[in-house]
Amino acid sequence: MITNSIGLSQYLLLSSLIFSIGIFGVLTKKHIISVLFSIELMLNAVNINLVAFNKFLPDVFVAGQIFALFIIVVAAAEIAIGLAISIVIFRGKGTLVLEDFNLLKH
Amino acid sequence: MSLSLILSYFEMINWHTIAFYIISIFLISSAVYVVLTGNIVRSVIALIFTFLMTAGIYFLLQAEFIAVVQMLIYAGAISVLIVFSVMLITDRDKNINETSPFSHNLFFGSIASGLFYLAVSITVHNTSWNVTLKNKEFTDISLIARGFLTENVIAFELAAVLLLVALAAAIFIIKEVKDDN
Amino acid sequence: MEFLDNIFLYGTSIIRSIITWIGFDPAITNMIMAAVYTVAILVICTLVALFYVLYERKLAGFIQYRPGPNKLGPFGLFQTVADAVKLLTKEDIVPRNADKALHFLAPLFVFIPPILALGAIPFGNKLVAVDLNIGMLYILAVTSLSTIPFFLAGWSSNNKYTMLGAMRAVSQKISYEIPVIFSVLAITMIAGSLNMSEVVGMQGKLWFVFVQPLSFLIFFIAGIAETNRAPFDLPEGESELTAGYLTEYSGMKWALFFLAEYCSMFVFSAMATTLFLGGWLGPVLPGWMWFVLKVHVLMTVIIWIRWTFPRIRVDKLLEFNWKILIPASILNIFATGIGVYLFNNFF
Repeated sequence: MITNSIGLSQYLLLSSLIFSIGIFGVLTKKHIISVLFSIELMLNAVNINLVAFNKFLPDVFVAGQIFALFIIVVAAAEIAIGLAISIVIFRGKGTLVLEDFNLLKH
Repeated sequence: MSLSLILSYFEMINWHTIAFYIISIFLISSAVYVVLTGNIVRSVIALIFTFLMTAGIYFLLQAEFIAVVQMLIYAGAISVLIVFSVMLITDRDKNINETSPFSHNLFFGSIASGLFYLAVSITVHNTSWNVTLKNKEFTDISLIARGFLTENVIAFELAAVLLLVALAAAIFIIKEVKDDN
Repeated sequence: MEFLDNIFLYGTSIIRSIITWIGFDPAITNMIMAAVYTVAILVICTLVALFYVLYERKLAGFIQYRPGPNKLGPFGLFQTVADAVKLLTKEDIVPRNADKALHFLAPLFVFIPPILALGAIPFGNKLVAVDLNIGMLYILAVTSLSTIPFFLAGWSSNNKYTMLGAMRAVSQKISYEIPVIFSVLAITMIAGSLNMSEVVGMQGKLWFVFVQPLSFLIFFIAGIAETNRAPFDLPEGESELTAGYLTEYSGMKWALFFLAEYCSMFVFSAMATTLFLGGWLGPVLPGWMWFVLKVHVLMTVIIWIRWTFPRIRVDKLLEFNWKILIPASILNIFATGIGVYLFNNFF
């Protein structure tokens, strides 16, 4: 028999798993657009956290959902600027591999 | 086995739990696919699927407004932005993992993310959350609107300004610089 | 008349009572009913696509002063069946360097947004699969997903024409989504609700098209662009791009794209009917019949436009959106806000 065992901690574990997948992507990927994908995964995980807290914790009303909406706004701005920067770098250097972005080193 | 026995077995199942596990499995596997695949377009498609499954989790959490906004902004707008830049700048047959052969990065990356997950899960297990379930069907959207326009009105306006600045900045960065000389 | 009005509701309640009689508990009954609704929506989608394919050909024939398909069956009614048989038996060609999985999935994905959207549209009084309290926003969200399959089709075919077609489709759809959302926002401000049934209920005295004529016009134009119909059908402009993102598709996969176009046209007409033309409201006839009639008039106008206007140029298309439609819809929202404030405070 399966009872309703899904509480706050299950949602938190799920979101931390997604977040660690995002960390793995950021650390291992060399392609700038893939790194942006991983950052999006991490932001999504944070949003799951906030919405879960909003449902399960007392005296919060809708604060968690409002914060999640703010994060969505910031994510939209971040991805627009990030992609614009990567397009400009691609125009200048002809590559999207992060290791080749070393203008400041030389 | 008689029909009534099967039916009584069905009655014991908690559908919320089942739905949570199904959505979580899809969510986690598509997120893993996003970071592991070498084909950037398949990575984008898996990312969009991840966004949609996250919307499913929000529906389970009875935050249907956030779920729909997630579909509209992440799956509908941000993914299209990504798709467009993928079409503009990537080499279609190039494997995006090719440049990172089995390197120390992969090793340290898995160690770091594994440690993070371990730390968070231990913390979650050892914390006693002061949990109360709110017994309401769905969130009233007017509550969210009131929250935006009363307590958080300054942050709300700043978010609008942030979006405007991001829009203008993205256009300004991308605009080709005409060399007059 | 009461009976005719509720005929579909009686049908569903009979199915529900049969399931309960067999002995399923409420949760499973609801799930089976959801499956029944899904099948009903799929049937509606298929019927709409099959009917309007033939209707468009007949109407085009009328406009161009020729009979149209008239050999097979009475008035050429079986022409669509013959076409379907032809398309099903055609060889299915997949380019050698295509991404085969995505090439296969794109024509399936293209059907998902219209089917999901039809679930929240009220076809009559209480005749709606899921009466969401944010139905309007939900429909906008799922129709915004319709960009992805076109990108997939264009990319997976590995062909420069499909790629250009996909780029045009993506840029066109993402830009024309904005005026659609803004014009719906004006309706939301007046109605004070995102529930589709409530919005229809408020139009008993006056249809919203008379309150918001500019909004309706913007919605209709942007809707034609969203569904890739002429004069905005540049993504598949056959005279410039062979067939745009459809170039490498043949047989049944091509037919799926073709049918999905009619489904999304139907969804847009149904949305316009619900938001602006009073939905199922009307005298004498049963509600769902009024709904079908209004949608049919809008579909006729869309087809009429296709066979009347020439295709416009791609830069003009985007310019028209960003320089005319979006500023007009923003001004409209502004004016609506002032109007709603004045109405609430002084009348």
